[in-house]
Amino acid sequence: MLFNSLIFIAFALAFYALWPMMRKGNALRWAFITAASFFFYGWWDWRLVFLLLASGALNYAAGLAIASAGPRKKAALAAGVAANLLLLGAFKYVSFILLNVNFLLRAVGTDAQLAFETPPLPIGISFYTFMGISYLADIYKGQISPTRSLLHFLSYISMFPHLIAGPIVRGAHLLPQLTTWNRTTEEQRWQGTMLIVTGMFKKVVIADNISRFLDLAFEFGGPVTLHSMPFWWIAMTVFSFQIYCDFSGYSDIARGLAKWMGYDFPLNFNHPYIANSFRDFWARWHMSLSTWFRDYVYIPLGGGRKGKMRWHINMWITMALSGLWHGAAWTFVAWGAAHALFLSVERLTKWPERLGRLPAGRWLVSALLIPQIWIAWVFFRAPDMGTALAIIKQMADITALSLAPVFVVGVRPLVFLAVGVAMEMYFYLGIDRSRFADSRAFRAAEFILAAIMILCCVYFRGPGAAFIYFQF
Amino acid sequence: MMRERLTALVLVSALLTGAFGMTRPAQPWVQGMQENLFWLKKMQWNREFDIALAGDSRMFRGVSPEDLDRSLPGLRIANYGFSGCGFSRPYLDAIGGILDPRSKQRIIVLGVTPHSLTPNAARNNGYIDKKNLDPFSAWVFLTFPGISTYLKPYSSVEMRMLTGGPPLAKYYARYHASGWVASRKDPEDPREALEEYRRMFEGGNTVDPAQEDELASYVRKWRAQGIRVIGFRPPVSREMLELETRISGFDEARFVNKFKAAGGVWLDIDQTGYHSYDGSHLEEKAARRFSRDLGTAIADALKNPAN
Repeated sequence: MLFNSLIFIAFALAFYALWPMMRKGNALRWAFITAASFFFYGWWDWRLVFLLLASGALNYAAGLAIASAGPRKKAALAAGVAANLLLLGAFKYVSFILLNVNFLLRAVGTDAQLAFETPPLPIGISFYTFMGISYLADIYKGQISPTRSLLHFLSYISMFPHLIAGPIVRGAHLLPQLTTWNRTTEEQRWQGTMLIVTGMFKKVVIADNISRFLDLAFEFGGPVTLHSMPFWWIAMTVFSFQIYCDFSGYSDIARGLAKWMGYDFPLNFNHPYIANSFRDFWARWHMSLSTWFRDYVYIPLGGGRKGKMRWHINMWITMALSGLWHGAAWTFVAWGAAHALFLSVERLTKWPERLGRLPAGRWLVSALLIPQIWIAWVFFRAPDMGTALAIIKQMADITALSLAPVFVVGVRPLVFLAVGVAMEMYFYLGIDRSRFADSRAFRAAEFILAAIMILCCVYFRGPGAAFIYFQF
Repeated sequence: MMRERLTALVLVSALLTGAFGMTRPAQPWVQGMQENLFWLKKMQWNREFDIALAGDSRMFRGVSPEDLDRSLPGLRIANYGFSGCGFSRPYLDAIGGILDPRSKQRIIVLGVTPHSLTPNAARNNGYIDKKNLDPFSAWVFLTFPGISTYLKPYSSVEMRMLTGGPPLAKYYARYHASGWVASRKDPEDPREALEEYRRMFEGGNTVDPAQEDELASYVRKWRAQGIRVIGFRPPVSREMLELETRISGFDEARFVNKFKAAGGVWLDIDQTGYHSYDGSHLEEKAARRFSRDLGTAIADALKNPAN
């Protein structure tokens, strides 16, 4: 079920009404979380519950096996990781691999073509598979001990707030929390409420209202018919905020729901568009995934410890894999590669640091950084490489300056875009760190703002849509 | 203090939300059933009609079962059209599902527009939107239609009215329980829809012959089940007809051959003889007149037992 659906509201009301009675004993608490999460997950398709159960049981058993394998623990880890990747690959990557194999077969003049009926991608599989892998790797590294209770593990891996679209919460972070319970304080509940309200506002008011802009742009032929440089820059600004508000909105709601249970999930988005470099961007965007790739791919590859050239190679591999994690298509790999290129150039030239020292340097850095991030998003959004390149060509065409396509697609989404931009400017200008943010006036303003955001979620919500990151 | 803060937020939000709903501008030109209820009821139809009219908005705005009934008395007729609806497999399956299996005369009438045979229409359309609504939400909307209407999002028109913006054309719509939406616009702009369609087709969303084949295969299947299948191209403005003939990729002769070969009956109706308020949809009176003419044509076709 979607966080932005009526059924979820009913589910959450029931869950939090029962939670105070269910949280006291470990076994009861874990069983309650697991049962509720399975119900939440099975609402889409009850068969998915068995997949989640299989993945959970696999990682639970593999964790115990690694801990008791002695000198063979590396082999046990390899087997556990391979099993996770096979599960993910079977659902997510087989058709992509076959598509490319068939392409190569055609290229060498063979008529033979491999066929495979791809099952629909189970929602959230990329997230819980990665949680499973990190759990095994952390046991292997001795950072955590495996849990002896299957229920404890299932309550961790399936916990409904993070199950579908993260954050990817590490075992070391959440498993110990689940062994205790605390009465939530009023402050925790208020913070949780603010996270839920803000996240919902970002999703249903901003992301859902601006999504129509790009949908219509592609419906009207995309770059084939809409010839305008400013239009495509505006369109990519729209998409950049759509995906940010959609995904960070989900993360906020997930963190808020966890807070209501008395648990803490890590911050997943820290205003990435106010970053002052690409490195900083990746320290702020989907932090639980970027740190996952850092710890389980980049560092095992050698990270930056084996010389400058290896740094670039390892970073490119990590970024390409990160792209592929988002989707089984070359456009996602290209998105990762574009970021790798920007990171390499940044490392070689140190341009953000140099530019940042100039007067108004921060604004200049943003003025150069943002367009590059937008260009990378083109690959993420475009249905294929041809369309992506055609859009980038339009974005560079200084002869096509008409704004007419903006009016064809409609300006209403831009009003909501402006709200999203204003929200981020609040942080870019540092108002959140000012004395105002600590004042009584701020607390009053926060209250009024929360009430207005709830109002907007009711009357100005966009057409209900699934969260973008569900597809990953 | 904190307890008061949360409770206060709940109370203030409830009051604010309730009060704001009262500011919703009245739109006396939208009449009949509540819109949400109209679509949800349509989705609930199940094995209860003799004639199912299917297609996109040209169908659900353009064909009135009440007027069709004059030439086809005694038959239970439903307009099962949905916005932007393409003839995709889920929709085709659903069309057959609203016919009463015990009926002696089961008839499917398809309004075939070029757009309804495009890939975009197959993927994203009003039918799929409604089908994807989770059952709990549907239950809430059906059980508490007043509340869900009160809390529904403000439309562009309502926002414009609320903010005192320049007036938009008044879009009259009356939602009939039969599935028909009688509509007209004031003032009219018979060229309004042309640009959108031009962009859509030029952008590559053109008729997909594979979807024509899929539709033909369903016609064959229905015929094998004893269901009579009638097709026609809904009327539009002359400019729209020319535009679609030129750039939509719809080869009517080719399609009609496939349709007839599958066992369907194709009606050659007057494609530009009825008044459209935006180039694409028939105005209420024109829709009624067209429905009567269509009813006569269907009745004539049914006289031939081979059809």
